[in-house]
Amino acid sequence: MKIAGNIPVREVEENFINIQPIQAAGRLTAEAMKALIAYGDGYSTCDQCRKPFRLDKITKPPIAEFHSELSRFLNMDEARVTPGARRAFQAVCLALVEKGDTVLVSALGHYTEFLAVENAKAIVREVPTNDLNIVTGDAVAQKIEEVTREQGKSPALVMLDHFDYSLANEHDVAGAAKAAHQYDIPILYNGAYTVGIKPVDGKALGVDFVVGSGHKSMASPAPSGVLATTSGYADTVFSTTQMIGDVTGRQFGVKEVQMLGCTLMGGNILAMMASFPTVRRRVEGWGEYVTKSNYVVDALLSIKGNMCVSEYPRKHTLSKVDTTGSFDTVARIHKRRGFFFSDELKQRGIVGAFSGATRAWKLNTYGLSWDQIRYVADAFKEIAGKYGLL
Amino acid sequence: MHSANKPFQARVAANGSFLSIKINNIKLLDYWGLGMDNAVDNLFEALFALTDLRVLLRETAPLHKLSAEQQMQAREALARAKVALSKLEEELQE
Repeated sequence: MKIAGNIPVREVEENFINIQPIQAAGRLTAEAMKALIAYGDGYSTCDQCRKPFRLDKITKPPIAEFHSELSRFLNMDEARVTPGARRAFQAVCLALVEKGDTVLVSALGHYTEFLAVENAKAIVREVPTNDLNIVTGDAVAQKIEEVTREQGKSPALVMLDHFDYSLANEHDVAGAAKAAHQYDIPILYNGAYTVGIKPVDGKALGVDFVVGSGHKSMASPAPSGVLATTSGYADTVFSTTQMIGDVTGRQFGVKEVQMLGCTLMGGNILAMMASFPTVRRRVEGWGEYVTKSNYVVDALLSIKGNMCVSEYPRKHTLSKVDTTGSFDTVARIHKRRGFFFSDELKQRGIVGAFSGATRAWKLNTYGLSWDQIRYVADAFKEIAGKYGLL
Repeated sequence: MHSANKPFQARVAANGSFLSIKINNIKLLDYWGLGMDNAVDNLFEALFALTDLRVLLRETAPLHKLSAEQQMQAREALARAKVALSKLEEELQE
């Protein structure tokens, strides 16, 4: 079936169980789909935009109220929606970091953190992980000292992923925040893999910025995200324009510089808002999703030769596993090579594992029902049994 | 359930047509404060009912074996869609 021309209908989620690592928690709720149907037109949020003409001030539909709810949800003072987490990193870097400054990121930090720092003409320095692939508060403190010794000034910002994109290991954000603040350095919490799926309390963590990804973890379309901060940093990161046109004398006083004015002006924010009641509820059920994640990982580990590369037991629904000692031994002699594994999964109605990968690969079980979880776990064991790996 | 917490709310006129539709308390169709065209209301109602069905298909992939409760939800969604389409057909023929 085609939508138009050669654009096919996407039926992945309807026909398969999708364990793709970055897609799981961005799947839309029914309400978000309905909001897209009704609000898909370009500037659909602007029907009743009144003075002061800014997205987060619009009351019909209740976008202003949503912004307040977002900051309460994260226990921060101010929040704005952004076109993805990356634009939030960029906004913070451009607001706080000067040319030549150093910004600390995790050795498992996302590439968009690098780009945001580079965009501000600053330099990234990485905080190494320990033997367990965890970033600790002590490691952050040591790196701050090292950079300060080398450069004669401390880093301008610390950015740390709570759960990283690669292994989804949990890193010590509270410890890092304590360390950063001992040196008067602000810290940004990258919650791309937490905000919207597990409870996040910015003040309890002691961070200055909380960043979330709508399309990764808040059941929202791409791009969408959130940047929340404290009252102490709100004026800096959400500063308004001071520019005056030299010919016309025009001023745009209320527009926020780092946001480039309004951010999500159509279906994306309404879909994010429509999913929000579900998102707010679902974070309370995080524990059960972690239990389900461990159920699937345990099934994989029951197959001889398999290892969990991520920390184990799992604290997240995203996991990296190594099947070099099992499925890859089949791939070495199978006519379809590594594709035999994704073929076998697809025949059973499961997609999302990287096609052709039989060594280290990632899966995400977020959002699956118990029936689907058992089905996936059984499928792995069934494939292993078929090839004599049990 | 408190009405404010219902994910889908509709105000229905005496003649059976929708006056307004809300999703998660976001008023979708009548925030201009004008009376809405019944055909448009029914169009959205049909699309939304089918969207509920779409989500049900996602929740039960890949086998689509529905539990008794899910079968009831599917029947309800299909009935809503059929009623809305039937009204839409009438509206557009008037």
